[in-house]
Amino acid sequence: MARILVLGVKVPFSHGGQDVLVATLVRELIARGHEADELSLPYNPLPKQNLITQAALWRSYDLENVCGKEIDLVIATKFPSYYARHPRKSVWLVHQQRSIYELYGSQYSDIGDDPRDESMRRMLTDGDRKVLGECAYRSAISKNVAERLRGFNELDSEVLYPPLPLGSRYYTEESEPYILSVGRICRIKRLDLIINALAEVPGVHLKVAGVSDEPDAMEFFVNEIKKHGLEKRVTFLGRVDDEELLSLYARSLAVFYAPFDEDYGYVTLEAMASGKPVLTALDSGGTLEFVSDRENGFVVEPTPHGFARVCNELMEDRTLAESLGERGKSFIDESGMKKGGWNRVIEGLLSPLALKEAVKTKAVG
Amino acid sequence: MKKLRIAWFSPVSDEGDSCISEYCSERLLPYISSGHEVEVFTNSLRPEAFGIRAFHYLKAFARHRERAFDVFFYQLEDSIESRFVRAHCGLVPGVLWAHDVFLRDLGAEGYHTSPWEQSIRQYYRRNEPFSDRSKAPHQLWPRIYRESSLSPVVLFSSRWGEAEFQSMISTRLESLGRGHMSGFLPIPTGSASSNNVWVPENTDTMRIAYQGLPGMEGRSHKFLPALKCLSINYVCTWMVPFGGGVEAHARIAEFGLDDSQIEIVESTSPKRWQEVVEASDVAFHLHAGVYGRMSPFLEVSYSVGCPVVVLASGSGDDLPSDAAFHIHSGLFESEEIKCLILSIRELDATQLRRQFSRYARQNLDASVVAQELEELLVAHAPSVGLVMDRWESLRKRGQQALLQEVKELVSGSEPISFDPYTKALDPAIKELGWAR
Repeated sequence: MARILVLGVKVPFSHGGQDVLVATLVRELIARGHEADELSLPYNPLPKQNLITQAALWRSYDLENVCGKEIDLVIATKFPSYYARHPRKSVWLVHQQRSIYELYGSQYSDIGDDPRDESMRRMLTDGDRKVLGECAYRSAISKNVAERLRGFNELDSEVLYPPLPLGSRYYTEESEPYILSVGRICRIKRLDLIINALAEVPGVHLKVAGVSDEPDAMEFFVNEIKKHGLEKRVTFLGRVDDEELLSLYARSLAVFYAPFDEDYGYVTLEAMASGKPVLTALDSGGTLEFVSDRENGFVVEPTPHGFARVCNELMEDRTLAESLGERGKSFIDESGMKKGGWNRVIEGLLSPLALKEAVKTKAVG
Repeated sequence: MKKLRIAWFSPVSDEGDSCISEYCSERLLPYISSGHEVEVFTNSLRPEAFGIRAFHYLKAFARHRERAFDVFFYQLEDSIESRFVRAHCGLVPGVLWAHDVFLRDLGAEGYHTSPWEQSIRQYYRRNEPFSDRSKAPHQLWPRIYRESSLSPVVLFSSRWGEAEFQSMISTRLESLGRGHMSGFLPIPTGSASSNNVWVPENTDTMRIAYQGLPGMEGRSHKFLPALKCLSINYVCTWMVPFGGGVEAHARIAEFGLDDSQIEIVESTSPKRWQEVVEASDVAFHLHAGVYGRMSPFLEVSYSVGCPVVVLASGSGDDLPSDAAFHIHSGLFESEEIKCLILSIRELDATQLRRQFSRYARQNLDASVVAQELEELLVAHAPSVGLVMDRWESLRKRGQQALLQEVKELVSGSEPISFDPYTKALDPAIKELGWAR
């Protein structure tokens, strides 16, 4: 049995996919008899120069031996945790610093053409290549993330989809006329698309589970709601516990999840496991690895009108919603995303340990 | 001719004709890449574009460091597809070919906070400080001030664009010390394979192609009344950008025209326009405004030899009289359009098409435009190289300034007994090679 540290980053007062991924990975490692713990450092991208500070800070940690305990393996997840030093470093890449890569030049990036910014982009791109290149094992949580790593840093990685955090506990109930949105409330998740769509969809409510972690984002969405007089049809639920989340999924008409170029998106798979169609957009990235238009959800152009059209269709034809949901559920049942998928994930992430054993055996021999 | 290593920036799409830059790249790159070493930089992760090795544009600096390019070549236009080119032409100097001078698309936050004017000052004066991060720099919009500021050579695909640049932008940049060479490089047609011209089947019905915005800029308020007065059989195909169909139908109804005689096509595809003009007797390009444009549709009309009609005072005012029919805007505009349609109907179609094709072959053929561009690139590569070198030294100063900012964030500016930057971060920064 090995002593393993799972490296995460923590945005204070926020809870997102990476937090879930780190917690469930630690839980699964312990369940398999390993001594595992989480090591997270706060992440603060403001001011943006902090990106350098935080990457260098992680780099300054030598995690081979902590408090007299030898660490057999570290598993890094997200920028900048993979800057940590360890001879047996696995990475299960959630994402890199997106503002210097795929979001660069978009409204979601604050990196500009100031020579200092451009230097930072080059430094972090080079740094990523070095520290991710030195990993004993490299994997990514989706094809989308793996392709970015290949395209931007010329590094290959294995795709290991994270299994569902609540395993086999998802269930389906008769749908009620509401669309569910789950996740952090920030602009890149584009909640405004479904809020504005509601104006064209009579009789449907929107329930939003999650908290805001971006300055002014909530104010922006509330303004959109007021603009269309939708105050009575949109409910912000804040952070909900597991039981409530399962129930919200189970009773929804459909689940809206259309971020811009998402890495992976647990929400997609949770909705499918709950037998609900997923409403996503053509530019939503990782969600498109699972959602096919009119197969298990809808993939529409990223406009309110596009979402309004399919919401109206689902309202008029509830059997369509059911059949799309059932197909999604079948996919999840067959994919091993509920439970069995963990074996493959852990086998991959722990593969550097086999190397260590082989070296040890050779030395003894 | 000296063989250059060229970094060619271009959008790329599945359809192959998402915007004017992609249209031009497709036509010019076969010629340019046959004599030079070209790598294409796109906004996609695809490894190939236009049959050439391609990279994501954010890898350009690494490719340049691995083996230096002689010149970065940018095409700039007011389209979402080209946003990344706009981003990068503020990062590395190069030769700019501007298809637009005005930008409706305000784009990303990075442009709004660009300290380009201060950067230009720093480019000339080593002691000039970096801009204050807490203050958003004043931006000049909507012209391409920032985008052209780093380019020693700025080309335009329209003559009025070059004139606008000379009168407004260049003056401003010169006040900062930046000098430019500017010039005109036309949008190419495809390459003509022979002198033969395509003539549509002869019928009694006049087939009219009309490309333009449904608002005043496209002159529909003059064009549609002209059609209304026609006493001959005609059909018209009106191509408008996506989303323009509703307004176009409203204009048709407003002027009391028969809907069945006018087909509305919502498209921005040059390939679709080619299908339209191949089956038409005349093509109207009456664009009059600074936003939106006739290219590359005008060039497509030329490429099939379709007679073209432009406004004498609009974007096509520089076309010679033997290469375009000119309409004068104003009170008698509709009457002129009507009379012209009737006159063209009486002319020998084969002869007319031969005349327009000849103009296209001699002036706009892809091989002609590519040769002109190639000569420009070769001639200006040394001066572009000097600007690139000097800019890189400013970028390196930026790196040192950034590390100083990091140091102040971590340690503060006051001397203290434990300096966390030196003790904790500096070794990591050195190990990662960031201090170089």
